[in-house]
Amino acid sequence: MSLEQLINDCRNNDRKAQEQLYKLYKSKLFAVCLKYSRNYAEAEDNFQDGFVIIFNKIGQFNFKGSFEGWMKRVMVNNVLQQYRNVTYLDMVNKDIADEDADVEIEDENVPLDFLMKIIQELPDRYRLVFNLYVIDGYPHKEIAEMMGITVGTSKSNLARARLILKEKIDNYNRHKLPSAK
Amino acid sequence: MSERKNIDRLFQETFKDFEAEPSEIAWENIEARLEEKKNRKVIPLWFKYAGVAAIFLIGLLLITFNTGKDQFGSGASDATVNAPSDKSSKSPLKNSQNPGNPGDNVNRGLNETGPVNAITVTDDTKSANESGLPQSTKGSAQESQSGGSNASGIRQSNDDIVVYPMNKEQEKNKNGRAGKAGVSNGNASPFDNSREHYASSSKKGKHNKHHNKKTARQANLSDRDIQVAQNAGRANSGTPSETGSRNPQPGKNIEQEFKNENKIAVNENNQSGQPGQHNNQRVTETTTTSTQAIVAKTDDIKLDSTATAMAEKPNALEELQNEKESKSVAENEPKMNRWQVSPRVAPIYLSSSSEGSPIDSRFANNEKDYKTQLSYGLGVSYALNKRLSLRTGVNSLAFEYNTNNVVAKQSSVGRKQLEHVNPTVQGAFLRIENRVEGGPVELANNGLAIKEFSSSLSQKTGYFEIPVELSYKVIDKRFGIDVIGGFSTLLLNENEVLLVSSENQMQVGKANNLNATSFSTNLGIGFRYDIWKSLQVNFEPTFKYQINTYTESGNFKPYFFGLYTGLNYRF
Repeated sequence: MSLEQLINDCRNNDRKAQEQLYKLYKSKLFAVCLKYSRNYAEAEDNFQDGFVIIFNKIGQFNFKGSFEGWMKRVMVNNVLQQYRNVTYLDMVNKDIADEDADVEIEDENVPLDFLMKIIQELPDRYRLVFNLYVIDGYPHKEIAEMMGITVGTSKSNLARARLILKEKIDNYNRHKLPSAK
Repeated sequence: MSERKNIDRLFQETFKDFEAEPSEIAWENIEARLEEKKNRKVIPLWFKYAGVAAIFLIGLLLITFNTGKDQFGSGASDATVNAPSDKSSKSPLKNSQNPGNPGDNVNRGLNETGPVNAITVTDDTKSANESGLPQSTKGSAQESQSGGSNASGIRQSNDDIVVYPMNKEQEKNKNGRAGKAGVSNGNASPFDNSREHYASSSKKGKHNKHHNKKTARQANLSDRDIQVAQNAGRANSGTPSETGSRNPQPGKNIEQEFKNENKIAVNENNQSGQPGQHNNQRVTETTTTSTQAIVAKTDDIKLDSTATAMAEKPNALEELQNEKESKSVAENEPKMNRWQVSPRVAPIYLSSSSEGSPIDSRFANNEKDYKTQLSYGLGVSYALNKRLSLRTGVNSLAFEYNTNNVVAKQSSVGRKQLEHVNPTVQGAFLRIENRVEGGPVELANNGLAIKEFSSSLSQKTGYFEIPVELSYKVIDKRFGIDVIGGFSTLLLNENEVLLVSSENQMQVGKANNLNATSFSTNLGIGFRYDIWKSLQVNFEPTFKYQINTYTESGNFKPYFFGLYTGLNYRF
């Protein structure tokens, strides 16, 4: 069965087709949720919410562009929706000089789980911006629109996120190095 | 050997092909929610609730209109909800009244209005017939015109329903999340070495939670719902083709009903023509000719319209008819209903905006103290759209206030009856008047001082309150704020005037200036909080100004303030 056929069946609320589609994409989309959420439990909630939205809005997919991309976008938007409204004090100093500067770290073999953990530990907005920009490659302008913030805020959030992550990775490496060598 | 590396690249490379397995139970949850959403779209069982509410509203309006208070003309706007069905059933009745009348007071006006009505009715029949017949047989253009507007009415209501569950779903999601946030935060799963381990270790921790969630969901689907789902399963799936095939049926039924009604109307109209002939030659000559002419005319029209049915645009009457039909369909279709039942309780604080006494003008300046009473009730609310709901219900309502500083004397000498109280037997032997400090001691005929009880007069009234209110959601989130306005019909069911002294209390009479039916205008603000998607707690401080409580109020203008607290159960 072609993907197009599958999508059409899903539009008709065919439960079998929906399940098949789910099985095809669950791993990729759950990975997205894990990166964007605060922890595993919230990732699961967001994942389920997102899939329900996907099935409800599948009629809006117009077969232009990749379907996977569309689903990912629905997932991401759903997560953004969840965390966008969370207010927290934006303590970011606007005077971070080199927002676009590279942050270098020692390239040890840092396990994925650790990286996932420190991403999830980031404050909501830092995490979202970091994911959107670094991992999923959205430009700042688009991120700003998606999240309802300014480009400047997006950039400084990203810079902050990088610094926090760097510090944690450095820490990790420091603790690991003596035993490794 | 380690080297310097851009942090972005580290993450990009690590997560490039990252995939993670969600827990097994995730699909079941998603499926349950898709299933649930489907079930919510159609709720034919609520027909009877809709019926009950409609009867309730009609009853209310009858009461309102019977009392003939102009100030409640605003009730007419509510009446429009029921108007279409009323009119359609009343117009044949009106015609049938004619045969009784002609004997005495046939006048042209009456007979003329008869046929005129008939024309409109027959015209309607025609359009109904025309649109009804082809639907089952031909499927002409005419059908698609009238049938089309029907279908669109229904479709509209479907759309509405589709919107609601989605909103609800979102709400639920939010709720679920808010509730869970605390739990899940504390549950940071350990990240070990391998991906698989990462997924499975935290899966275990979450397994119970999701299981619970699922069972809760399943529990929500009560037997009834499942039945509904089965009944409506086919009609339900929401695809355009299927709803299309479902629509003609209610449309047809209604049209058939119209046909029947109109037949009766036509018959009766003929009858009304006959007695007219017997009774008044002169009048009937003119009227029969006119009716004949009209009949001929309508026949023409019938021929015309059947001939041109294919091409003709629906005339204004037809459109009106269709509008009526679609309205009544929309009204009878409970699918777009969002009902809510709200048991509630409220402390009621009574007061008066002016000094005065409804018992006797002599007590106008006496100190009054108002007792706080409890009002209990059950409310029903129907969401007209996302923000606006129409609410009604029944509340028990009791008022009690004391008029202080009165004395009761056991003497009928110089007795002046209380202005607005019909005394009981006991009360008739009491003189109740203002206490005068240091006044002369009155002596009875036997020379002994008349015994005085310093006491207070307590007036107790009880009502059934039937509010009809509109509420508008100003904030529609998990925590919501409504503005509520409307009026209440108050039906008197308790009326007592008691004499209360430190020693005892006795009933001295009943107030004779209380209206059996009175009204209040209501204005309130409501605060809601969603506990679950279907259950809310609410708190509604509401101010109710009583309008015609007393036939003669002695400048006593009561109002009350209720802190209504309750639960909303939505279904």
